[in-house]
Amino acid sequence: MADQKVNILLVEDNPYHAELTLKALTMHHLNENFVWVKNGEDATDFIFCRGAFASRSIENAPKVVFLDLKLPKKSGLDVLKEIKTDERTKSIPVVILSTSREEKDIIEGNNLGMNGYVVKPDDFEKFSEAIKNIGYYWLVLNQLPKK
Amino acid sequence: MQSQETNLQALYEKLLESEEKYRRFVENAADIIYRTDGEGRFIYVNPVGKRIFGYSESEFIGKHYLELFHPDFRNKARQFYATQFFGGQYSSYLEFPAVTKEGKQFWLGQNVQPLMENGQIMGFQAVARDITDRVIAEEEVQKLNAELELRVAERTIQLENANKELEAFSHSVSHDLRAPLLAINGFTQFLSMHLGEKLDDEGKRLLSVIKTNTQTMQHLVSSLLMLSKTNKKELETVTIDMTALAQATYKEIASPEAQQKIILTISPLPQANGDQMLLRQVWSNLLSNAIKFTLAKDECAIVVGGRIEENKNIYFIKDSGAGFDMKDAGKLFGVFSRLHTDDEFEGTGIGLSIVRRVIHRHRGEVWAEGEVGKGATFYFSLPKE
Repeated sequence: MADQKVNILLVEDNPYHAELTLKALTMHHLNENFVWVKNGEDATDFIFCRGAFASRSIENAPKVVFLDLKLPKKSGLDVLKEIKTDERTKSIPVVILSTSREEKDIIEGNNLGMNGYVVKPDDFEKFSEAIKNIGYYWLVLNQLPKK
Repeated sequence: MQSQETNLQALYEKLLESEEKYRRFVENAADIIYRTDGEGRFIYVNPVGKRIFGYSESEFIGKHYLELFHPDFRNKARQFYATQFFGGQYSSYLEFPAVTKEGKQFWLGQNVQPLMENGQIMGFQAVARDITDRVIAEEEVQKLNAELELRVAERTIQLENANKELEAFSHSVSHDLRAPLLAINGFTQFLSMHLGEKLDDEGKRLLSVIKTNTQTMQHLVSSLLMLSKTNKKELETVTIDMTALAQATYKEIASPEAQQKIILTISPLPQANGDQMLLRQVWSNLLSNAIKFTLAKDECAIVVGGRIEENKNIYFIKDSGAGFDMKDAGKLFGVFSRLHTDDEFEGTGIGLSIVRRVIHRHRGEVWAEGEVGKGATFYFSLPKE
Protein backbone atom coordinates (compact mmCIF):
# COMPACT_ATOMS: atom_id res chain seq x y z
CA MET A 1 0.00 0.00 0.00
CA ALA A 2 1.32 3.41 -0.91
CA ASP A 3 1.88 5.90 1.84
CA GLN A 4 -1.49 7.49 1.39
CA LYS A 5 -3.09 9.87 3.85
CA VAL A 6 -5.49 8.21 6.27
CA ASN A 7 -8.31 9.89 8.14
CA ILE A 8 -10.08 6.99 9.76
CA LEU A 9 -8.66 3.53 10.43
CA LEU A 10 -11.54 1.18 11.21
CA VAL A 11 -10.59 -2.03 13.00
CA GLU A 12 -13.66 -4.27 12.72
CA ASP A 13 -14.01 -8.02 12.16
CA ASN A 14 -17.72 -7.94 11.32
CA PRO A 15 -17.89 -7.06 7.57
CA TYR A 16 -21.51 -5.95 7.87
CA HIS A 17 -20.69 -3.52 10.65
CA ALA A 18 -17.73 -2.28 8.62
CA GLU A 19 -20.00 -1.69 5.65
CA LEU A 20 -22.60 0.07 7.79
CA THR A 21 -19.90 2.25 9.31
CA LEU A 22 -18.66 3.22 5.86
CA LYS A 23 -22.23 3.87 4.67
CA ALA A 24 -22.86 6.08 7.70
CA LEU A 25 -19.61 7.98 7.09
CA THR A 26 -20.47 8.35 3.41
CA MET A 27 -23.92 9.69 4.24
CA HIS A 28 -22.21 12.43 6.21
CA HIS A 29 -19.33 12.99 3.75
CA LEU A 30 -16.75 11.76 6.20
CA ASN A 31 -15.58 8.76 4.16
CA GLU A 32 -12.53 10.31 2.55
CA ASN A 33 -9.26 8.39 3.19
CA PHE A 34 -11.01 5.61 5.02
CA VAL A 35 -9.15 2.36 5.70
CA TRP A 36 -10.64 -0.83 7.08
CA VAL A 37 -8.66 -3.71 8.63
CA LYS A 38 -10.30 -6.90 9.86
CA ASN A 39 -8.23 -7.87 12.88
CA GLY A 40 -5.93 -6.61 15.61
CA GLU A 41 -2.79 -7.96 13.97
CA ASP A 42 -3.45 -5.98 10.79
CA ALA A 43 -4.31 -2.92 12.86
CA THR A 44 -0.92 -2.83 14.63
CA ASP A 45 0.87 -3.74 11.38
CA PHE A 46 -0.82 -0.74 9.81
CA ILE A 47 -0.04 1.66 12.66
CA PHE A 48 3.55 0.49 13.09
CA CYS A 49 4.15 -0.01 9.33
CA ARG A 50 4.96 -3.71 9.44
CA GLY A 51 4.18 -6.69 7.21
CA ALA A 52 1.80 -5.74 4.41
CA PHE A 53 2.07 -2.11 5.48
CA ALA A 54 5.89 -1.91 5.62
CA SER A 55 5.94 0.72 2.89
CA ARG A 56 4.01 3.18 5.05
CA SER A 57 5.71 5.69 7.30
CA ILE A 58 4.78 5.85 10.96
CA GLU A 59 4.47 9.66 10.89
CA ASN A 60 1.59 9.27 8.48
CA ALA A 61 -0.78 8.29 11.25
CA PRO A 62 -4.57 8.10 10.96
CA LYS A 63 -6.45 11.07 12.39
CA VAL A 64 -8.53 8.65 14.44
CA VAL A 65 -8.82 4.89 14.99
CA PHE A 66 -12.26 3.31 15.39
CA LEU A 67 -11.54 0.15 17.32
CA ASP A 68 -13.79 -2.82 17.95
CA LEU A 69 -12.92 -4.81 21.09
CA LYS A 70 -13.81 -8.38 20.22
CA LEU A 71 -11.31 -9.12 17.51
CA PRO A 72 -9.66 -12.30 16.30
CA LYS A 73 -5.88 -12.83 16.77
CA LYS A 74 -5.21 -9.75 18.87
CA SER A 75 -7.85 -8.17 21.09
CA GLY A 76 -8.91 -4.54 20.78
CA LEU A 77 -7.45 -3.77 24.21
CA ASP A 78 -4.08 -5.21 23.14
CA VAL A 79 -4.12 -3.00 20.05
CA LEU A 80 -4.96 0.00 22.22
CA LYS A 81 -2.15 -0.84 24.62
CA GLU A 82 0.43 -1.07 21.82
CA ILE A 83 -0.61 2.25 20.34
CA LYS A 84 -0.73 4.07 23.65
CA THR A 85 2.56 2.76 25.06
CA ASP A 86 4.66 3.75 22.06
CA GLU A 87 5.97 7.32 22.10
CA ARG A 88 5.59 7.55 18.32
CA THR A 89 1.91 6.61 18.27
CA LYS A 90 0.44 7.44 21.65
CA SER A 91 -1.10 10.71 20.45
CA ILE A 92 -3.26 8.92 17.86
CA PRO A 93 -6.86 9.21 19.07
CA VAL A 94 -8.47 5.79 19.59
CA VAL A 95 -12.23 5.51 20.01
CA ILE A 96 -13.62 2.15 21.04
CA LEU A 97 -16.78 1.04 19.27
CA SER A 98 -18.38 -1.83 21.11
CA THR A 99 -21.68 -3.68 20.87
CA SER A 100 -21.99 -3.57 24.62
CA ARG A 101 -21.30 -1.49 27.64
CA GLU A 102 -18.81 -3.54 29.64
CA GLU A 103 -17.70 -1.82 32.82
CA LYS A 104 -14.39 -3.66 33.03
CA ASP A 105 -13.58 -2.86 29.39
CA ILE A 106 -14.37 0.80 29.96
CA ILE A 107 -12.14 0.91 33.04
CA GLU A 108 -9.30 -0.94 31.34
CA GLY A 109 -9.65 1.09 28.15
CA ASN A 110 -9.56 4.24 30.20
CA ASN A 111 -6.44 3.13 32.06
CA LEU A 112 -4.78 2.38 28.75
CA GLY A 113 -5.59 5.86 27.50
CA MET A 114 -8.50 5.38 25.10
CA ASN A 115 -10.03 8.60 23.79
CA GLY A 116 -13.63 7.45 23.87
CA TYR A 117 -15.95 4.48 24.35
CA VAL A 118 -19.09 4.34 22.28
CA VAL A 119 -21.75 1.63 22.42
CA LYS A 120 -23.00 0.92 18.91
CA PRO A 121 -26.75 1.53 18.95
CA ASP A 122 -28.58 -1.43 17.38
CA ASP A 123 -30.88 0.93 15.54
CA PHE A 124 -29.21 2.08 12.33
CA GLU A 125 -30.44 5.66 12.49
CA LYS A 126 -28.94 6.11 15.93
CA PHE A 127 -25.83 4.25 14.85
CA SER A 128 -25.39 6.54 11.87
CA GLU A 129 -25.89 9.59 14.08
CA ALA A 130 -23.26 8.30 16.51
CA ILE A 131 -20.75 7.64 13.71
CA LYS A 132 -21.36 11.11 12.31
CA ASN A 133 -20.76 12.75 15.68
CA ILE A 134 -17.56 10.85 16.40
CA GLY A 135 -16.22 11.32 12.87
CA TYR A 136 -17.06 15.01 12.83
CA TYR A 137 -15.45 15.61 16.20
CA TRP A 138 -12.16 13.82 15.48
CA LEU A 139 -11.79 14.74 11.81
CA VAL A 140 -13.06 18.28 11.79
CA LEU A 141 -13.17 19.84 15.25
CA ASN A 142 -10.28 18.21 17.03
CA GLN A 143 -6.79 19.69 16.69
CA LEU A 144 -3.79 17.38 16.99
CA PRO A 145 -0.23 18.52 17.76
CA LYS A 146 1.94 19.15 14.71
CA LYS A 147 4.53 16.40 14.19
CA MET B 1 -36.48 -55.35 131.57
CA GLN B 2 -38.61 -57.91 129.82
CA SER B 3 -40.38 -55.26 127.81
CA GLN B 4 -37.08 -53.51 126.90
CA GLU B 5 -35.79 -56.82 125.43
CA THR B 6 -39.04 -57.28 123.52
CA ASN B 7 -38.69 -53.78 122.16
CA LEU B 8 -35.13 -54.38 121.03
CA GLN B 9 -36.17 -57.65 119.44
CA ALA B 10 -38.99 -55.87 117.61
CA LEU B 11 -36.64 -53.13 116.50
CA TYR B 12 -34.12 -55.68 115.25
CA GLU B 13 -36.80 -57.51 113.30
CA LYS B 14 -37.96 -54.25 111.82
CA LEU B 15 -34.40 -53.46 110.83
CA LEU B 16 -33.98 -56.86 109.19
CA GLU B 17 -37.27 -56.40 107.39
CA SER B 18 -36.24 -52.96 106.19
CA GLU B 19 -32.85 -54.23 105.03
CA GLU B 20 -34.55 -57.06 103.19
CA LYS B 21 -36.83 -54.60 101.44
CA TYR B 22 -33.88 -52.45 100.51
CA ARG B 23 -31.86 -55.47 99.31
CA ARG B 24 -34.72 -56.72 97.16
CA PHE B 25 -35.12 -53.26 95.73
CA VAL B 26 -31.45 -53.02 94.80
CA GLU B 27 -31.17 -56.63 93.60
CA ASN B 28 -34.23 -56.36 91.35
CA ALA B 29 -33.49 -52.89 89.99
CA ALA B 30 -33.21 -52.59 86.21
CA ASP B 31 -30.14 -50.34 86.58
CA ILE B 32 -26.67 -51.42 87.59
CA ILE B 33 -25.94 -50.54 91.20
CA TYR B 34 -22.50 -50.98 92.70
CA ARG B 35 -20.30 -49.76 95.48
CA THR B 36 -16.53 -49.47 95.83
CA ASP B 37 -14.12 -48.87 98.65
CA GLY B 38 -12.13 -45.64 98.93
CA GLU B 39 -9.63 -46.82 96.32
CA GLY B 40 -12.32 -47.64 93.80
CA ARG B 41 -12.40 -51.44 94.19
CA PHE B 42 -15.82 -53.08 94.08
CA ILE B 43 -17.29 -54.32 97.30
CA TYR B 44 -20.80 -54.83 95.99
CA VAL B 45 -22.47 -55.28 92.58
CA ASN B 46 -26.16 -56.01 92.03
CA PRO B 47 -27.27 -58.95 89.79
CA VAL B 48 -27.98 -56.66 86.79
CA GLY B 49 -24.38 -55.42 86.94
CA LYS B 50 -23.02 -58.97 87.02
CA ARG B 51 -25.32 -60.00 84.17
CA ILE B 52 -24.50 -57.08 81.94
CA PHE B 53 -20.73 -57.24 82.47
CA GLY B 54 -20.63 -61.05 82.52
CA TYR B 55 -18.43 -61.29 85.64
CA SER B 56 -19.24 -63.65 88.50
CA GLU B 57 -19.55 -62.29 92.04
CA SER B 58 -16.01 -63.38 92.88
CA GLU B 59 -14.57 -61.90 89.69
CA PHE B 60 -16.31 -58.59 90.30
CA ILE B 61 -15.46 -58.05 93.93
CA GLY B 62 -12.03 -56.51 94.30
CA LYS B 63 -11.88 -55.38 90.64
CA HIS B 64 -10.91 -51.73 90.11
CA TYR B 65 -13.74 -49.62 88.65
CA LEU B 66 -11.52 -48.42 85.77
CA GLU B 67 -11.30 -52.00 84.47
CA LEU B 68 -14.92 -51.65 83.35
CA PHE B 69 -14.03 -48.69 81.17
CA HIS B 70 -12.85 -48.92 77.58
CA PRO B 71 -9.02 -48.63 77.77
CA ASP B 72 -9.03 -45.46 75.64
CA PHE B 73 -11.33 -43.77 78.11
CA ARG B 74 -9.62 -44.70 81.40
CA ASN B 75 -7.36 -41.68 81.72
CA LYS B 76 -10.21 -39.35 80.99
CA ALA B 77 -12.41 -41.07 83.60
CA ARG B 78 -9.70 -40.97 86.23
CA GLN B 79 -9.23 -37.24 85.69
CA PHE B 80 -12.98 -36.67 85.69
CA TYR B 81 -13.53 -38.39 89.06
CA ALA B 82 -10.47 -36.80 90.60
CA THR B 83 -11.68 -33.30 89.73
CA GLN B 84 -15.23 -34.06 90.77
CA PHE B 85 -14.72 -35.60 94.17
CA PHE B 86 -11.52 -34.06 95.37
CA GLY B 87 -13.07 -30.76 94.36
CA GLY B 88 -15.75 -31.55 96.93
CA GLN B 89 -18.65 -32.17 94.59
CA TYR B 90 -21.27 -34.50 96.00
CA SER B 91 -22.52 -36.16 92.88
CA SER B 92 -21.46 -36.60 89.27
CA TYR B 93 -22.79 -37.96 86.03
CA LEU B 94 -20.58 -39.43 83.33
CA GLU B 95 -21.29 -41.21 80.06
CA PHE B 96 -18.57 -43.59 78.90
CA PRO B 97 -17.83 -46.61 76.76
CA ALA B 98 -17.68 -49.73 78.95
CA VAL B 99 -16.36 -53.21 78.10
CA THR B 100 -17.84 -56.55 79.19
CA LYS B 101 -15.79 -59.55 80.26
CA GLU B 102 -16.12 -60.83 76.70
CA GLY B 103 -14.79 -57.58 75.25
CA LYS B 104 -18.11 -56.29 73.97
CA GLN B 105 -18.30 -52.51 74.03
CA PHE B 106 -21.40 -50.61 75.15
CA TRP B 107 -22.29 -47.22 76.63
CA LEU B 108 -23.11 -46.49 80.26
CA GLY B 109 -24.49 -43.38 81.86
CA GLN B 110 -23.38 -43.37 85.48
CA ASN B 111 -24.30 -41.41 88.61
CA VAL B 112 -21.62 -41.58 91.33
CA GLN B 113 -21.77 -40.37 94.92
CA PRO B 114 -18.98 -40.56 97.49
CA LEU B 115 -19.75 -42.34 100.77
CA MET B 116 -18.54 -40.08 103.57
CA GLU B 117 -17.70 -40.84 107.18
CA ASN B 118 -16.36 -38.13 109.47
CA GLY B 119 -15.51 -35.99 106.47
CA GLN B 120 -13.48 -38.78 104.89
CA ILE B 121 -14.33 -40.53 101.61
CA MET B 122 -14.84 -44.15 102.55
CA GLY B 123 -16.02 -45.35 99.18
CA PHE B 124 -18.34 -44.67 96.26
CA GLN B 125 -21.74 -45.86 95.21
CA ALA B 126 -23.02 -45.66 91.68
CA VAL B 127 -26.13 -46.25 89.63
CA ALA B 128 -25.49 -46.88 85.97
CA ARG B 129 -27.72 -47.50 82.98
CA ASP B 130 -27.09 -48.92 79.51
CA ILE B 131 -27.51 -45.94 77.15
CA THR B 132 -26.09 -47.62 74.04
CA ASP B 133 -29.30 -47.23 71.99
CA ARG B 134 -29.48 -43.53 72.71
CA VAL B 135 -25.80 -42.91 71.99
CA ILE B 136 -26.01 -44.81 68.70
CA ALA B 137 -29.14 -42.86 67.75
CA GLU B 138 -27.35 -39.62 68.59
CA GLU B 139 -24.32 -40.62 66.57
CA GLU B 140 -26.63 -41.48 63.70
CA VAL B 141 -28.29 -38.07 63.93
CA GLN B 142 -24.91 -36.35 64.03
CA LYS B 143 -23.74 -38.34 61.04
CA LEU B 144 -26.90 -37.52 59.13
CA ASN B 145 -26.58 -33.85 60.04
CA ALA B 146 -23.00 -33.77 58.86
CA GLU B 147 -23.99 -35.50 55.63
CA LEU B 148 -26.86 -33.10 55.19
CA GLU B 149 -24.62 -30.09 55.71
CA LEU B 150 -22.18 -31.50 53.20
CA ARG B 151 -24.97 -32.09 50.72
CA VAL B 152 -26.39 -28.60 51.25
CA ALA B 153 -22.92 -27.14 50.70
CA GLU B 154 -22.50 -29.20 47.52
CA ARG B 155 -25.90 -28.20 46.22
CA THR B 156 -25.24 -24.55 47.05
CA ILE B 157 -22.05 -24.65 45.01
CA GLN B 158 -23.89 -26.38 42.15
CA LEU B 159 -26.66 -23.82 42.32
CA GLU B 160 -24.22 -20.92 42.41
CA ASN B 161 -22.38 -22.33 39.42
CA ALA B 162 -25.63 -22.87 37.54
CA ASN B 163 -26.63 -19.29 38.34
CA LYS B 164 -23.30 -17.96 37.15
CA GLU B 165 -23.56 -19.97 33.95
CA LEU B 166 -27.09 -18.77 33.35
CA GLU B 167 -25.96 -15.25 34.04
CA ALA B 168 -23.06 -15.52 31.61
CA PHE B 169 -25.38 -17.15 29.09
CA SER B 170 -28.05 -14.47 29.15
CA HIS B 171 -25.38 -11.78 29.15
CA SER B 172 -23.56 -13.15 26.14
CA VAL B 173 -26.79 -14.00 24.33
CA SER B 174 -28.05 -10.47 24.69
CA HIS B 175 -24.70 -9.00 23.68
CA ASP B 176 -23.95 -11.30 20.82
CA LEU B 177 -27.47 -10.88 19.48
CA ARG B 178 -26.93 -7.17 19.13
CA ALA B 179 -24.28 -7.39 16.43
CA PRO B 180 -26.46 -9.15 13.82
CA LEU B 181 -29.38 -7.02 14.91
CA LEU B 182 -27.58 -3.83 13.96
CA ALA B 183 -26.74 -5.38 10.60
CA ILE B 184 -30.33 -6.49 9.91
CA ASN B 185 -31.68 -3.14 11.01
CA GLY B 186 -29.12 -1.16 9.02
CA PHE B 187 -29.39 -3.07 5.76
CA THR B 188 -33.20 -3.15 5.92
CA GLN B 189 -33.15 0.59 6.29
CA PHE B 190 -30.86 0.93 3.28
CA LEU B 191 -33.06 -1.37 1.29
CA SER B 192 -36.13 0.74 1.99
CA MET B 193 -34.21 4.00 1.41
CA HIS B 194 -32.62 3.07 -1.91
CA LEU B 195 -34.86 0.41 -3.35
CA GLY B 196 -38.13 1.28 -1.61
CA GLU B 197 -39.50 3.00 -4.72
CA LYS B 198 -38.83 -0.02 -6.90
CA LEU B 199 -40.72 -2.41 -4.62
CA ASP B 200 -44.38 -3.23 -5.20
CA ASP B 201 -46.89 -3.17 -2.35
CA GLU B 202 -46.21 -6.76 -1.31
CA GLY B 203 -42.45 -6.03 -1.30
CA LYS B 204 -43.01 -2.98 0.88
CA ARG B 205 -45.21 -4.99 3.24
CA LEU B 206 -42.57 -7.69 3.58
CA LEU B 207 -39.98 -5.04 4.37
CA SER B 208 -42.17 -3.56 7.07
CA VAL B 209 -42.66 -7.03 8.58
CA ILE B 210 -38.87 -7.33 8.84
CA LYS B 211 -38.63 -3.89 10.44
CA THR B 212 -41.35 -4.61 13.02
CA ASN B 213 -39.75 -7.90 13.97
CA THR B 214 -36.33 -6.31 14.22
CA GLN B 215 -37.77 -3.78 16.63
CA THR B 216 -39.36 -6.55 18.70
CA MET B 217 -36.00 -8.27 18.78
CA GLN B 218 -34.33 -5.04 19.88
CA HIS B 219 -36.79 -4.72 22.76
CA LEU B 220 -36.24 -8.32 23.78
CA VAL B 221 -32.50 -8.00 23.72
CA SER B 222 -32.42 -4.78 25.68
CA SER B 223 -34.89 -6.22 28.23
CA LEU B 224 -32.73 -9.32 28.59
CA LEU B 225 -29.72 -7.10 29.11
CA MET B 226 -31.62 -5.16 31.74
CA LEU B 227 -32.58 -8.41 33.45
CA SER B 228 -29.00 -9.59 33.56
CA LYS B 229 -27.88 -6.19 34.83
CA THR B 230 -30.38 -6.27 37.72
CA ASN B 231 -28.67 -9.45 38.87
CA LYS B 232 -25.13 -8.20 38.58
CA LYS B 233 -25.43 -4.67 39.87
CA GLU B 234 -24.22 -4.13 43.43
CA LEU B 235 -27.01 -2.72 45.57
CA GLU B 236 -26.34 0.90 46.54
CA THR B 237 -28.77 1.34 49.39
CA VAL B 238 -30.06 4.83 50.19
CA THR B 239 -33.24 6.23 51.72
CA ILE B 240 -35.72 6.89 48.95
CA ASP B 241 -38.78 9.14 48.82
CA MET B 242 -41.01 6.65 47.02
CA THR B 243 -43.82 9.17 46.42
CA ALA B 244 -41.45 11.43 44.51
CA LEU B 245 -39.85 8.50 42.69
CA ALA B 246 -43.21 7.11 41.55
CA GLN B 247 -44.36 10.54 40.39
CA ALA B 248 -41.14 11.32 38.53
CA THR B 249 -41.07 7.91 36.87
CA TYR B 250 -44.67 8.26 35.74
CA LYS B 251 -43.99 11.66 34.17
CA GLU B 252 -40.97 10.23 32.43
CA ILE B 253 -42.61 7.19 30.88
CA ALA B 254 -46.23 8.20 30.26
CA SER B 255 -46.84 9.80 26.87
CA PRO B 256 -48.65 13.17 26.87
CA GLU B 257 -51.79 11.42 25.53
CA ALA B 258 -51.63 8.84 28.30
CA GLN B 259 -51.16 11.53 30.92
CA GLN B 260 -54.19 13.35 29.61
CA LYS B 261 -56.41 10.29 29.49
CA ILE B 262 -55.40 8.57 32.70
CA ILE B 263 -56.50 9.74 36.11
CA LEU B 264 -53.51 9.02 38.33
CA THR B 265 -53.74 9.14 42.11
CA ILE B 266 -50.57 8.73 44.14
CA SER B 267 -51.13 8.67 47.90
CA PRO B 268 -48.16 9.47 50.14
CA LEU B 269 -45.98 6.35 50.20
CA PRO B 270 -43.73 5.02 52.96
CA GLN B 271 -40.04 5.77 52.47
CA ALA B 272 -37.88 2.91 51.28
CA ASN B 273 -34.30 1.79 51.79
CA GLY B 274 -32.97 0.47 48.56
CA ASP B 275 -31.15 0.98 45.31
CA GLN B 276 -32.54 4.08 43.63
CA MET B 277 -31.77 2.97 40.08
CA LEU B 278 -33.23 -0.50 40.48
CA LEU B 279 -36.35 0.69 42.31
CA ARG B 280 -36.91 3.29 39.60
CA GLN B 281 -36.90 0.36 37.18
CA VAL B 282 -39.56 -1.35 39.33
CA TRP B 283 -41.83 1.69 39.22
CA SER B 284 -41.12 2.14 35.55
CA ASN B 285 -42.07 -1.44 34.66
CA LEU B 286 -45.14 -1.58 36.90
CA LEU B 287 -46.42 1.84 35.82
CA SER B 288 -45.86 1.20 32.13
CA ASN B 289 -47.72 -2.09 32.51
CA ALA B 290 -50.60 -0.30 34.21
CA ILE B 291 -50.63 2.39 31.49
CA LYS B 292 -50.50 -0.17 28.69
CA PHE B 293 -53.42 -2.20 30.00
CA THR B 294 -55.49 0.79 31.10
CA LEU B 295 -55.29 2.85 27.91
CA ALA B 296 -57.39 0.31 26.03
CA LYS B 297 -60.33 1.09 28.32
CA ASP B 298 -62.66 4.10 28.17
CA GLU B 299 -62.20 4.99 31.80
CA CYS B 300 -58.59 4.96 32.80
CA ALA B 301 -57.60 5.18 36.43
CA ILE B 302 -54.38 4.21 38.13
CA VAL B 303 -54.04 4.34 41.89
CA VAL B 304 -50.68 4.13 43.61
CA GLY B 305 -50.63 3.62 47.38
CA GLY B 306 -48.84 2.02 50.26
CA ARG B 307 -48.95 1.11 53.91
CA ILE B 308 -46.58 0.49 56.77
CA GLU B 309 -46.60 -2.89 58.47
CA GLU B 310 -44.57 -4.21 61.40
CA ASN B 311 -41.39 -5.23 59.58
CA LYS B 312 -42.11 -4.12 56.05
CA ASN B 313 -43.60 -1.45 53.84
CA ILE B 314 -46.09 -2.44 51.18
CA TYR B 315 -46.63 -0.59 47.91
CA PHE B 316 -49.30 -1.20 45.29
CA ILE B 317 -50.33 -0.07 41.82
CA LYS B 318 -53.96 -0.61 40.96
CA ASP B 319 -55.26 -0.14 37.45
CA SER B 320 -58.65 -0.30 35.78
CA GLY B 321 -57.24 -2.20 32.81
CA ALA B 322 -57.65 -5.60 31.22
CA GLY B 323 -56.91 -7.49 34.43
CA PHE B 324 -56.11 -11.21 34.53
CA ASP B 325 -57.49 -14.49 35.77
CA MET B 326 -56.20 -15.31 39.27
CA LYS B 327 -55.40 -18.83 38.12
CA ASP B 328 -52.69 -17.26 35.94
CA ALA B 329 -51.23 -15.26 38.85
CA GLY B 330 -48.29 -17.65 39.14
CA LYS B 331 -47.25 -17.08 35.52
CA LEU B 332 -47.10 -13.31 35.78
CA PHE B 333 -43.53 -12.95 37.00
CA GLY B 334 -41.78 -15.62 34.90
CA VAL B 335 -39.31 -14.68 32.16
CA PHE B 336 -40.98 -14.54 28.72
CA SER B 337 -44.33 -15.51 30.23
CA ARG B 338 -47.14 -13.45 28.81
CA LEU B 339 -50.88 -13.57 29.37
CA HIS B 340 -51.82 -11.59 26.28
CA THR B 341 -51.04 -11.93 22.60
CA ASP B 342 -49.19 -9.18 20.72
CA ASP B 343 -52.45 -8.31 18.96
CA GLU B 344 -53.97 -7.45 22.34
CA PHE B 345 -51.00 -5.87 24.08
CA GLU B 346 -47.38 -5.51 23.07
CA GLY B 347 -44.70 -6.70 25.40
CA THR B 348 -41.59 -8.78 25.82
CA GLY B 349 -42.67 -10.73 28.90
CA ILE B 350 -39.55 -9.67 30.78
CA GLY B 351 -40.75 -6.53 32.59
CA LEU B 352 -42.36 -8.26 35.56
CA SER B 353 -39.52 -10.73 35.98
CA ILE B 354 -37.19 -7.75 36.28
CA VAL B 355 -39.53 -6.36 38.96
CA ARG B 356 -39.45 -9.65 40.83
CA ARG B 357 -35.67 -9.96 40.70
CA VAL B 358 -35.13 -6.41 41.92
CA ILE B 359 -37.59 -6.86 44.80
CA HIS B 360 -36.16 -10.26 45.74
CA ARG B 361 -32.69 -8.76 45.79
CA HIS B 362 -34.05 -6.25 48.30
CA ARG B 363 -35.42 -9.23 50.32
CA GLY B 364 -39.00 -8.19 49.55
CA GLU B 365 -41.95 -9.95 47.94
CA VAL B 366 -44.11 -9.35 44.86
CA TRP B 367 -47.63 -10.52 44.21
CA ALA B 368 -50.70 -9.53 42.23
CA GLU B 369 -54.47 -9.65 42.35
CA GLY B 370 -56.78 -9.29 39.41
CA GLU B 371 -60.01 -10.11 37.67
CA VAL B 372 -60.53 -10.35 33.93
CA GLY B 373 -61.83 -7.03 32.60
CA LYS B 374 -61.77 -5.39 36.01
CA GLY B 375 -58.16 -4.38 36.39
CA ALA B 376 -55.17 -5.62 38.30
CA THR B 377 -53.30 -4.66 41.44
CA PHE B 378 -49.58 -5.31 41.75
CA TYR B 379 -48.04 -5.30 45.20
CA PHE B 380 -44.48 -5.32 46.38
CA SER B 381 -43.06 -5.21 49.86
CA LEU B 382 -39.68 -4.02 51.11
CA PRO B 383 -38.21 -4.78 54.52
CA LYS B 384 -38.01 -1.72 56.79
CA GLU B 385 -34.33 -2.15 57.62
